[in-house]
Amino acid sequence: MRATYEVPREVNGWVRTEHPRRVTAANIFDYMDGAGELYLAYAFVGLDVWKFTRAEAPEILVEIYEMGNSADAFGVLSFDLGGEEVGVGQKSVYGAGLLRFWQGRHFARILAEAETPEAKAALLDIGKSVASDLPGGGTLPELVVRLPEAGLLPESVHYFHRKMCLDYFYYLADDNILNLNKETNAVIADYRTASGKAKLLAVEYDPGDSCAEASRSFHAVYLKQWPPGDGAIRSNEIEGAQWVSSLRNANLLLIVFEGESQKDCEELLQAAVSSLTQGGKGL
Amino acid sequence: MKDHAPGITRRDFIRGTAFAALSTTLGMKAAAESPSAAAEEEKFTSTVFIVRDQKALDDLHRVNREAASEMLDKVMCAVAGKEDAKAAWQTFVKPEDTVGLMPTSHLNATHNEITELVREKLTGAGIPAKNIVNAQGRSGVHKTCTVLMPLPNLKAHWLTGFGTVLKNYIQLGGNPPAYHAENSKDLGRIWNMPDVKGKTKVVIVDALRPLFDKGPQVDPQYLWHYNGIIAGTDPIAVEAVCVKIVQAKRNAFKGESWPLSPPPICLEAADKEYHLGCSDLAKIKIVRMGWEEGALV
Repeated sequence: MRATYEVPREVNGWVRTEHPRRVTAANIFDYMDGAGELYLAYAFVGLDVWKFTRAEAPEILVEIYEMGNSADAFGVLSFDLGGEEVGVGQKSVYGAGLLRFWQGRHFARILAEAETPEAKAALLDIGKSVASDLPGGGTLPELVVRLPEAGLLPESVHYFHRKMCLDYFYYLADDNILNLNKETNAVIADYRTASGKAKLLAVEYDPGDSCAEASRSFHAVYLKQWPPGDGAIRSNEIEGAQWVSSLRNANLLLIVFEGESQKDCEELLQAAVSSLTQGGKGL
Repeated sequence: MKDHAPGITRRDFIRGTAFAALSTTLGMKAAAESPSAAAEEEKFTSTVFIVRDQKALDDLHRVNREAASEMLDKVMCAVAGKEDAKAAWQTFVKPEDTVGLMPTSHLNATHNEITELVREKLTGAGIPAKNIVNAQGRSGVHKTCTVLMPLPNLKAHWLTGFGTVLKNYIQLGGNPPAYHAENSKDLGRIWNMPDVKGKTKVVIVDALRPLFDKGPQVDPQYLWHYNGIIAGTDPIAVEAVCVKIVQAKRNAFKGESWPLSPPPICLEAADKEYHLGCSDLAKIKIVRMGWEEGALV
């Protein structure tokens, strides 16, 4: 179903193309060869593209992505949460002439060819206008909402499903040792700890044996050992004086990487399992 | 992926037991080795030339054509070891050649000014205009070319770690998705295909405004004015130097180690498995010309 929203015809002298270019999963690589995989790694439905032009001024590109659900619309935004919050949509980030925001099942990307004060003002106006017309009511992914709050570095949060995304956020192995797929929900985030920083990865699997199998696979390939039992924490010191700790709780696999001490890792794991299973307050 | 070195993990990069040179370039090895006396004296096997000009771009990122033209001449003279620019270009192409230009076609594309200047330099060197074609894409034009000239833009790539020289030929392989993610390791295979092998005489990288994260879809907060052109006859050495520059920029941006991810495993594989050139920075001589500030290598 096509979304119904309005994109203004003219903003501060910039005039948009009459009709959008419609991009779907079938032709996304014609539009963005080498980049389409990102959107296909989430529940991509379609994309509308407009261009705004004004004489002697940078062109402004407007891309409105329709996703199958609001969690994945946020997921695409969380590919990079770095930037200035400018109050557009349910969450926005702006930097160097690029505005990205999330609202409901939509993710928007508005890019000025070059950042000038006028172009920035225009693209923010375009963004606010579009956001005011997009359906709202999007909910953050449960895994993100339930992240432990203490020590969380909010800009480091990434929500995703597939291995190719994890490879970009935190390359772990060439094989898919966590058995990630389009059905798995995962979040990775950095935390301040007593000794420094650490990285928390949480993966939620379907009920059944998937989580236990992933834990076995991870421990066999990455740590060369048998996994701990359900509910037990296992910590290992690896190369570079880094600690890795893991815990499986029912269908939730939690791993802390790059901890500077065993204590840091295990405290973060305990906070995470408590928060993720009982309801925390992450983002 | 399963037909080579199965089970590679991040820990192998930290240990340096896999892709050792790459691990060093990315700063992933646990204990970075300081260059030993032996390494310092090791004979260089490849040379990469970097020319930079502070005036190459203006504040709106527009190319200063005159500066870019001078940069091209300067770097080509250096690569060819000639005093005269025309003679330098003639080192790599002959009037009877059909030259296929290989710019990055979209998403952080090669600046048109660079592509057009190269075309002008080639005609100035005696190549008939009709014999200079755009060989980028899957049209098969490259098969009719006797020389292929990579003109990629310098950029990181979220699926392959890096997307500059080696990835420049991905369309020639006929099935780009087959060379993404972990399969990007085999990008070097394309360079050894019968219609491609041996046709690359010189590589010219547009490093005027590189992208150091999130490529190919452009996020301008990760673009910067490097104002450079990087060239050499060894495509893998050129790529290795480009990786080093981008890696250094990433570390400077974050103020801490920020390794390219996923690791661009195609680089070392192109050296060790496909024998296309040298990926080990310890064996690559880097010659810098022009603007020095922020050279990063």
